[in-house]
Amino acid sequence: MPVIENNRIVEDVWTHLEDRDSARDRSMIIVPLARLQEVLADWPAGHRGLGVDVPNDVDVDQLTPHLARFDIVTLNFPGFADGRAFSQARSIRHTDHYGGTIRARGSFLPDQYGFLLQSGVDSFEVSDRFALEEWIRHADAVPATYQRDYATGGLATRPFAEAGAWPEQPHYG
Amino acid sequence: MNVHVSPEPNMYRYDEFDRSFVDARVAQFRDQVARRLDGTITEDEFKPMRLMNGLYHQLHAYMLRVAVPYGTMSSRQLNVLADIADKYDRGYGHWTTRQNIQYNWIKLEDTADILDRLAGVEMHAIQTSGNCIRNTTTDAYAGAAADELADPRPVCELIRQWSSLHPEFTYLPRKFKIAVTGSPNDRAAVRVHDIGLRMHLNEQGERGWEVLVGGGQGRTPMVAVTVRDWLAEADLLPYLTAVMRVYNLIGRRDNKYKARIKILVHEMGAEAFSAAVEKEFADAQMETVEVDARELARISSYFAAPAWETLAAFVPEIEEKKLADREFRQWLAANTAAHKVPGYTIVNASFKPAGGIPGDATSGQMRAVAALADKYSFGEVRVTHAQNLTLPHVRTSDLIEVWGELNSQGLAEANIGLIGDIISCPGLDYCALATARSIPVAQEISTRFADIKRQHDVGPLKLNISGCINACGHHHVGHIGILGVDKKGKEFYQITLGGSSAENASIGKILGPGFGADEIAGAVETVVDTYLNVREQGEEFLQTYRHLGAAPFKEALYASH
Repeated sequence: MPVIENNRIVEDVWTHLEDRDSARDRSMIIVPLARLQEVLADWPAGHRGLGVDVPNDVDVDQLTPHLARFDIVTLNFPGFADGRAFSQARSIRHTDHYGGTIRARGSFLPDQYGFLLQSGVDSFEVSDRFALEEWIRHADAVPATYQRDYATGGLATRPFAEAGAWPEQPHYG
Repeated sequence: MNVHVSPEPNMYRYDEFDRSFVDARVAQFRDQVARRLDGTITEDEFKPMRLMNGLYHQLHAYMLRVAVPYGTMSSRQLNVLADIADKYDRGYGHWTTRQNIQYNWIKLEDTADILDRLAGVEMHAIQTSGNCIRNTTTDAYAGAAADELADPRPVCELIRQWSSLHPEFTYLPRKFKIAVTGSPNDRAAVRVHDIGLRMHLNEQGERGWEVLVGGGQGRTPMVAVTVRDWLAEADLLPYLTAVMRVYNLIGRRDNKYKARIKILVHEMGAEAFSAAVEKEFADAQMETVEVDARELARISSYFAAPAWETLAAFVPEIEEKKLADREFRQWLAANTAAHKVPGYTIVNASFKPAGGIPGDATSGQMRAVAALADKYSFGEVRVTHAQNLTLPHVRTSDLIEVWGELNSQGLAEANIGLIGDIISCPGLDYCALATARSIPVAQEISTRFADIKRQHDVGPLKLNISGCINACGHHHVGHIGILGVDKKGKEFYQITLGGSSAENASIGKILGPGFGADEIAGAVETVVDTYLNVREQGEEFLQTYRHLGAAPFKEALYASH
């Protein structure tokens, strides 16, 4: 499937490890969360090229101790209206300061592209249903956001007036 | 030539940023409509997009719900709502229980133009529907009520901005409603909302917020539980974010009817839920707190008190008129409320005429109220939770004129808070979900109780009607609730008693077997007559029910059956 990163189609260098595949001597693999402990036990320290695929109904806190070992985390959208992965992405990216790739998989729409970017997703496994331009066009369909600390990619946030311009709790109450 | 210029009330005003945000959202929606019409996106995909912009598909047509943020609007905005009613609907609109307005006869292809028109007066339909954070509601008397600690609207506006197109919380398990009160006397029903915020003051006079979570009506009515007794105001948005994240991640999505946060709180237990929120709150980064405090200060400056004059609280003409004119006296007793400033009064315009459709407003009535607001209330109007309008700041000495002008518009029915002030959903006359009609039942009951003197003798009594178990007519929290159900193709109506959405909130209990469409109004009358017979001196209906229970009412209704 095509992958979008930085508003471009990029080569997908990752392989999802199938259920019975061995991880031994392999690299650039994405491991199902259920097999993570098994794979990590054998994974040489400092060896890169490991990712994890996370269902959207698990607590991502269990990833926290291992995040530094991953180059990619894939999150899932079983349906476009199921928004759990937005919060998973936000938790990993923002609360846990994960700096690697976060990829969205499954069914999501170009109209959600901007929200995904703002929540911390930076890689998108998409179908061939919509052209690249259609995705890009939606990144900033609303080019302003009230959520200052979610703003990405040049979205406008409310400019601050000079510090001290606001009197303390004026006329309130 | 004199051009009439409406006074600009002290309320939140868009800056360049807000304006560009709303304009962009309108353009985005226009694009979404176009893609739906040309088939680029399916109806299933379009549905959540249109819902997040307040557009429902009803029985006969599209319905557009326009947000009136926390129920506050200017006369200028109200005039535009009237224009939209004339141009795009059938000359009227309908006030909703969440302080919004809905239009029931809208064409899909007109919606983007309507939104443009609204944007011109700083209004929108963002998140008035869909599984996202809805329009925040509050006390219709905010900023005016004699009993409030402080005006809650700056916090409401802060929440409005924070929740608008929130990237993380726009595809929630289910809709999400937040209500805020700055008064200990809860007129915002905070205990039956997904999140209720209740202002408190500490010994130093600082404001803090009690956070209630998991209230709601619908199929499984519940009263919210307090998860935080005291939250510092600066922590509000980080804490709300924590609640939303917990809900978004683990709220149920397997069953639409178990997807509200109340079910999560109930299934986890309040303590475990609260612990999960506190953990998220502690883990999350708090760098926004200072920003929020500055934002709140900026927002607060818009809500400065109006230029109230120093007036005498006692106005002899009003007292004389009260003695001389029973109708005026009744209107004053029911339709006005105490203002925090001497010489001012809060005035309600009743959209509940006997035999009328609760909450329906013609464009002419909207313009008339807008004109009254200009002349008597600093250009400011409120939409109430009970589907009426309020003029928040009327000089007591102007009350006779205001009463007369409301009267000439059919808006002075002296029934606010009485049995004629019925909350009703649109029911089967409009709604695709309804299983029974609500409006005709409301009309018949208000006709039976058309005698205002009788309503005043009965005293405070909230009667709410829903046309299906989704409970949009708030029957669970009516002192008398009526639920319309379909039984083998016939409409039946169940009566519940003892509900309340006030500070002592409770869910009404079903009294017994339901009544047919031709019996229900009579049954209500029997309940009311029973109350009059058994009440103790000075006891309101709800007190009598709480004191005596259902027995006398059951006896009266079912003994002879």
